[in-house]
Amino acid sequence: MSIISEEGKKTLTSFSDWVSANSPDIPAEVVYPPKKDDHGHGHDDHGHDDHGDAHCDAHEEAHEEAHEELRSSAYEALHASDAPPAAPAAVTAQPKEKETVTEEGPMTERTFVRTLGAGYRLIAAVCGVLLAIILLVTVAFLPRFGSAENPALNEVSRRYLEEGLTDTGAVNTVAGMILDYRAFDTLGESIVLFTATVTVIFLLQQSRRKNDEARALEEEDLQQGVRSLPARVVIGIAFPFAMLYGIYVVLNGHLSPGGGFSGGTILGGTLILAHLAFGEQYTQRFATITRCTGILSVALLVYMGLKSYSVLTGANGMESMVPLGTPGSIFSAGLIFPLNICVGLVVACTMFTLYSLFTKWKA
Amino acid sequence: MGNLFTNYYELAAMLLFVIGFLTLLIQRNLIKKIIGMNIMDTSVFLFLAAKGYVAGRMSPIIRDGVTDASLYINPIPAGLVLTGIVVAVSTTAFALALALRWYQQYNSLDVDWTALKYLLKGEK
Repeated sequence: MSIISEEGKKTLTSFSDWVSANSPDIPAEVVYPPKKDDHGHGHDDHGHDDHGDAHCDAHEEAHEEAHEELRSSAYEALHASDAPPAAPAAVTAQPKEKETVTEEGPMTERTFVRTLGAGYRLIAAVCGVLLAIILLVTVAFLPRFGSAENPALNEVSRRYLEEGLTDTGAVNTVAGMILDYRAFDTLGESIVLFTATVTVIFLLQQSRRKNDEARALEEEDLQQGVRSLPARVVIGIAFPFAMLYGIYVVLNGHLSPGGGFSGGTILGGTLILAHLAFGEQYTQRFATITRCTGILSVALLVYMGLKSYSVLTGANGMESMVPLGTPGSIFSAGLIFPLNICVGLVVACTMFTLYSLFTKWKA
Repeated sequence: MGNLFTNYYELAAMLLFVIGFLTLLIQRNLIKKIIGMNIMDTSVFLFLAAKGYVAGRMSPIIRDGVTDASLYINPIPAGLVLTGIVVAVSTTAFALALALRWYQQYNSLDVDWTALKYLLKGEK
């Protein structure tokens, strides 16, 4: 156990230390023998051993300083000599060590943190129970599920259902609603997606330059894709059909359930699957981050242009110069058809860009 | 008070909401906190979808040109859920990116540990 934690020192020190020090059901002494060794060294170095419980804060600081030191390059040198004898001793000599350390700093820090954590969890649980009671009482007073007397079923939805077909020409009332009556709101949604993509690009791209050697380790997987043959074969067969289905859902948004958002998600998910199976090497032939963000911006601009055209030619987007066509045919519903395509492109490009950014990033 | 168990969709949505809320509060791992936030999002979508349903009616896609509002369910919650999903995806991506940067800075996803070590004690 001690050997494992020493090998994983670089990455796991902080988290496992915290978990073992704070988790109420795992005795810290059993889980973490070598850490105790570290504390001992740290305290020896800083001469804080004899301060006892009264100087809790000083102890904590010294304790943490010791951590910092040990994580530095001196750590390996220190433990190359110390760890091998300490490792077998730790298992047998645990009760004794426990007794000695109990009166000292690390133990008081642990109890402090444990009390704090337990108190916080208690308050959180009480808040959760109170919230649950309030919400359940509210549910009990809501109108019966599925009843036609639901106040949410008011004249707005009646208007959308009765006049929607003549106003927008879309058989799918939801598509008519979100892309005609409330098209401005949908523009806002697309801008939210765009903003999220831009923010993630800013957050994750800055750190990529200096981690080249860490990236090189997983570079091959990222480039070549998974080595599992069944996954490659199945995704290879499904890829064109899934793309076709996504395009179908986007283009039939005004006629059937679906539309830009769901179809765009299918397209983006298919691209992610291809990236997963065949690697960046394959997907970068047709979809790179640069190209996707370009398509995303152009689709947003086209959306804005179409909607401003609609607002300019007919107030509130109720009428436009684009003929509505016969309801039920593919070229109907005026601007909803091109707007659905724009939204589908925005969503698909956002999904794929976010996935590529997250897979490329290495701490 | 009688509708608590006939409104089982809303009941499930509220329980999911509380589960997500408690996950958000109690978990120390940032990724698990984000998962809790997503559970809360999902419960709100379930609630909205349940509010739009009317027993015995069809989905709001006009069939054969019959535009009678008493034949179709409420289309508005569907649009609201769509908006909610988009915002949930965006906030999740943003939160995950922030969590990665946090991990890079502090070498840990544990917020309590990091707060104790770096913020309360003024290290670094």
